[in-house]
Amino acid sequence: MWSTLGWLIAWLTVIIGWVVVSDQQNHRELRKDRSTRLTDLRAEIAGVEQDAIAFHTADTCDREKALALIRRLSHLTREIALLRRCEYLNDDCGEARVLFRQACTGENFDLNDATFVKQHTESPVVGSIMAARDGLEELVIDSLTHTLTVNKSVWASVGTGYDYVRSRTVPLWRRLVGPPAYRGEESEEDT
Amino acid sequence: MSGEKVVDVARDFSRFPAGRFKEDGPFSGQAFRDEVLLPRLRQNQEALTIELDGALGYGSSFLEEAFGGLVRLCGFKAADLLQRLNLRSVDDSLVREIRSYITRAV
Repeated sequence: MWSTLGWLIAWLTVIIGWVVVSDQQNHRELRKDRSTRLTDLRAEIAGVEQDAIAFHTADTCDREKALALIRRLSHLTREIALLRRCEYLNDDCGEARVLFRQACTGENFDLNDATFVKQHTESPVVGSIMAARDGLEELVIDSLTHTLTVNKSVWASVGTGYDYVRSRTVPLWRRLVGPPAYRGEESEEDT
Repeated sequence: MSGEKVVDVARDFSRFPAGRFKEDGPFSGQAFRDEVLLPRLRQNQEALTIELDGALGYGSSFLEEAFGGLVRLCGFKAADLLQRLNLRSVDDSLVREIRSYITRAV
């Protein structure tokens, strides 16, 4: 009996150790990916800001550049929505996205030469683009900082391992010995 | 441009909506409001779904003129409009922005 118990403990230790190492490795990979995506996002925000300022400070209204800016902005805001859904971003940046789009394409953006006014670098239009970029980027930096500084503890990985083992063994056990005599409400494993 | 209850901007108007007024181009916010939104909204009192995805993107000037203009110039009440318009996009900030134009339009 003792030898069986020893054998069981040894195998459990091996399995839990494997799950912890594997989970920690997954966490590192995920962190690397998050960090890369958020760094790329910061670069894209800076790029859109540059395009917007270039459009507003040009001598004439360039429709092609305006359409390219709209396209790039759309891509950026959708990317942010996607990253939020994947929980790469801590904040949905909803208000900041709206403010950035408004700053870039709200004023002096009728796409008409007759109404276009060349902006200087200290104009309110350019100033609001810069401010909106800062506001949006700050939220991305918050998420990036969180990604780079928060580690997953070994105990959290043990918890993940426990959940994993439980999710695999409980249904198997139920299949072998049959369902419990009474089930008041459907449990998670059943759904 | 038939009387259906769903407006797909890319299909029913243009994949390249841009500009505020009709003088700014054929696919401006004013053109979208007058040629697409208004006829459908006046046709009946039912809800209207607007599918925003599929277009190249939207400038705020286009959105403000198209949706804010419904309240500012066409006599719609903001509360009614918010109830009737079902805005759909994977970019939730677009929906938020349009709703803000409707709410704040004067």
